[in-house]
Amino acid sequence: MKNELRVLRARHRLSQADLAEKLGVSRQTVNAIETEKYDPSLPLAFKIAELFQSRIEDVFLPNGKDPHV
Amino acid sequence: METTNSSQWPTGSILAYGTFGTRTPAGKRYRLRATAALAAFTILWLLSIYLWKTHVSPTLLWGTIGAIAPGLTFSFVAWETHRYWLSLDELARRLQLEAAAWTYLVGIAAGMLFGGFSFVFYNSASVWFWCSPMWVILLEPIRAFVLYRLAKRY
Repeated sequence: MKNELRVLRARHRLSQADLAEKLGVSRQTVNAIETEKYDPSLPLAFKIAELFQSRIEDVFLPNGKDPHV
Repeated sequence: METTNSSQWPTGSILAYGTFGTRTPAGKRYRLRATAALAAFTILWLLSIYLWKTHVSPTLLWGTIGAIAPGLTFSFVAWETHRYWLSLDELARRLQLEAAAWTYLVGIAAGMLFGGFSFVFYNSASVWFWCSPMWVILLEPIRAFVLYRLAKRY
């Protein structure tokens, strides 16, 4: 699944390690989500959206959908 | 700020211990307790078997210790492994469980293959052969290798 995590993280000037700590996961998990190799669980997806004060559908997008449309 | 796409999983720890390192308190606790249990087991078991075989009194006590020590130790290690898995985040736990599942399947296939050949050609079909603790020890490197391969995907 496509996501905007890297963009949001950069906008908030957070490192992968910082974000991982805030979310209570490992840096490898943040990296795997950013590189779209791993889709997070629903609770973690909501936590990410909440952290960036976004809606979940603005962070995670179905495959093929352009996030900027 | 990182722009890397690298996961940098702790390869050494994965291959040697089947864990994701000792950076977390749970990782440290698991390695410390599992290592201490295995070290204590090795000393106690070898000593008790030696004393039992050389008929040092009380032989019943040494024999009993030698009999229960492997099961007791590995029950403790299994419990600590379970606690360690519960402490992991969702991706790491998924990798651990998938590695355990693959190891189980490899264990079934390899055990039956080896067992069939042994039964026919080596006549080693005693209950002691099938229940040997060596099987568990042989499965651990397989679990570590599968975990390494799975982690590489992410």
